[in-house]
Amino acid sequence: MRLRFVDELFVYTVLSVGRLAVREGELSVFKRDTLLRRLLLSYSALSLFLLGVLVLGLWCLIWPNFTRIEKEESLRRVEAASRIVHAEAARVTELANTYAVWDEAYRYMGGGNPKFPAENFSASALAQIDIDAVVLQNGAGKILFAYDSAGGKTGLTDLERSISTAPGLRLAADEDAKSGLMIGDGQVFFASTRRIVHTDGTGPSNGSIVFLRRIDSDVMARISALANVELKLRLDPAAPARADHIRGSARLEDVFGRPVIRVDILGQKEIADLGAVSLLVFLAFVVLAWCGTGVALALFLGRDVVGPVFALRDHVAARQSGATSHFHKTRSPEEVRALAQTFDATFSQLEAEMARHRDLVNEAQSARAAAETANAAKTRFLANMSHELRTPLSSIKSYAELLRDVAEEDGRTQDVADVGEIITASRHLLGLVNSILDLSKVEAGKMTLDYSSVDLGELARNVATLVTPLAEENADTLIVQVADAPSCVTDEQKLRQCLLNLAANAIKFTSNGEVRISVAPMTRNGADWFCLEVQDTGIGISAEAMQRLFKPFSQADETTTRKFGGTGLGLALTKQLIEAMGGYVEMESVEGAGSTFRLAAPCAPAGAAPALLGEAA
Amino acid sequence: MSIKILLAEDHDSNRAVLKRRLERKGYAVVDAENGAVAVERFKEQAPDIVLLDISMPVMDGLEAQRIMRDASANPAIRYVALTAHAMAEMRAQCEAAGFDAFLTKPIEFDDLIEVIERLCGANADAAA
Repeated sequence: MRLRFVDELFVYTVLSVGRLAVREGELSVFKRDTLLRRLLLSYSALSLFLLGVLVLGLWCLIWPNFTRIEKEESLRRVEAASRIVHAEAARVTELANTYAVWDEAYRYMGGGNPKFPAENFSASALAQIDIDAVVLQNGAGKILFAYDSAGGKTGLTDLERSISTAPGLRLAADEDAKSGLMIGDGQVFFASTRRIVHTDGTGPSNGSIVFLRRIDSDVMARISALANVELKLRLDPAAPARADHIRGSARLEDVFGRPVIRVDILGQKEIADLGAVSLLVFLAFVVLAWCGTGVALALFLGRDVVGPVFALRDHVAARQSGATSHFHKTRSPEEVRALAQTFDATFSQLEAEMARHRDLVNEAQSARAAAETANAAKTRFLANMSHELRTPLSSIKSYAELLRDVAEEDGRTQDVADVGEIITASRHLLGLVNSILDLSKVEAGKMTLDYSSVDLGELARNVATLVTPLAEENADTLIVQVADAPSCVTDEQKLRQCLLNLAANAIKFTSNGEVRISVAPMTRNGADWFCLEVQDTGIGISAEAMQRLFKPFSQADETTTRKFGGTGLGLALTKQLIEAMGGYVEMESVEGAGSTFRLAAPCAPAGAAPALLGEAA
Repeated sequence: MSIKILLAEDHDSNRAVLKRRLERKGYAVVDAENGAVAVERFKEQAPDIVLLDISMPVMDGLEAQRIMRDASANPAIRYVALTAHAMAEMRAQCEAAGFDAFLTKPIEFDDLIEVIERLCGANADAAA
């Protein structure tokens, strides 16, 4: 059944998170160094970086534009407001102009029609042109007429008088008109004064006219309506325009040229505020989008990367435990399926290889077992044969010795010599049989060592004594050299057998020469060892023959067996015995110039009791 | 008085030749073909020295020696073990059992004479 995508995703997420938790015995995959965590951390780092870049861009590039537009807009409005204020002022000036350049006014000022002010500056007339006060002055500065709309009375209030006669409005001799803003008692006025002249502009001026218009809330409302802004007049322009609701200000000068009035344009900084809000909302959306993308990414990664990796792991584990598993049935991406395929192929190869290997090992094991059985049988046979041979040989030798004794008693010298040959032959045969028995024992691991404290110097001299007759036979000089002979704990009998073998060999292959037996201490791997050396000036051994010298039944040259006698077992047995004692035998030889055989072994057996060592010392 | 030797050895010709050679040296020799016979002869003949082959049929040398030692109150009787070639463990076993000497076969006759003289000869008596 196919689920809809979102449902499927949800179900998958729940399942996979559940599986992970159960699998790892941990609630969150984010606590561990998982693939998913790594990817999401990378994504988060990247997102934060991009967010930083975005914020920086907005702050440095977009936001200044908003504030610039805001400023420009404020300026534009301030300018508009100032323009309107000036226009208002201009209208008062214009009115003053109209009344000043008028023949009737001129004549009135010259003493004509005394009804002129009452006819033209009635309350209703002035209200029509929105003038609050009018003052007519003659050239000497005497006020001929004054009207104040406040209360509709004739004659100016003190305030209006002070304004209308203020030095700022006084016309100099060469001035025709003056106008501007004026302040008095906390109120602001448009004030305009004009020299009264004849309509055609001829003749001397006849005093002046002053128009005052109070800038009250009505005027401000009109200006605000015209400028399409909310305005406020302030009489202390130096005060800082800090209030949040002031968008801009313009300073206006009065007729004295002093900056006395400030027009504040009220209202919020709409553009900047809107811009800021827009940018923040935009950022919020971006962050939300990134978070959303992150979650989606986690889900997708879980489904398409982590899931398949776990599936692959399950597959591998299943194959490992010998269960059947078919990875191609999972809904994994092609790469993972390819990986699984490669693994399957490798695994199959490996299995085949291992099976082959197992077969080989089995074969080798059975071959080895067979070889061991055969060797054991050989050893047993040799041991039995030797034992069985030895008893009759012993009899032969004993009887021969008896016969020799009898012949000696009877003085039959020829018989003594003949029987002596039998004795020699049987001794040789016994030696051979004993060597075979020894060798088979060593090979069967049945050789036991009988340790005791041994004086090696004495042992060497003893061996020399034993081989002296042989040396005399071959006219060899026998030398024993004992240099600081150590006393050692070893198997005396077997060591003697070894040295005897070497000494007898050396003499056997040396005639009219020198055989030197030497004893010396040595150190090997920090342990005390001894070294027994047998050096001869005999025929030597070829390099090729040295290879098989220590193998059983292999004299250097097979013809030597016939020529020199010997069993061919002596060196093999010597090697086995000295190795059983933990030592080794080595040799050097120059064909035709002599050989040196060296026996070396530890002075104390491995794991020897200290008491025994003490005794040895 | 000549030294009386009890020789226990299962191999007939070896026993015979050894007996003859010892007798030629002037010793009185009583022989036995196994441990059981040797014990009997021991009781009858009261030898000065017993040469015992260790591996014999019917009763082996070790067993025979133990019975002899138990049967006789005479501490002067010497026991010599004759064993197969170079068996170190056997040597230790023999020494523990109270044998006075130990010889490995094939026996060098001169060595045997030397051992007998050392254990039972005039010098040995003097030492005892």
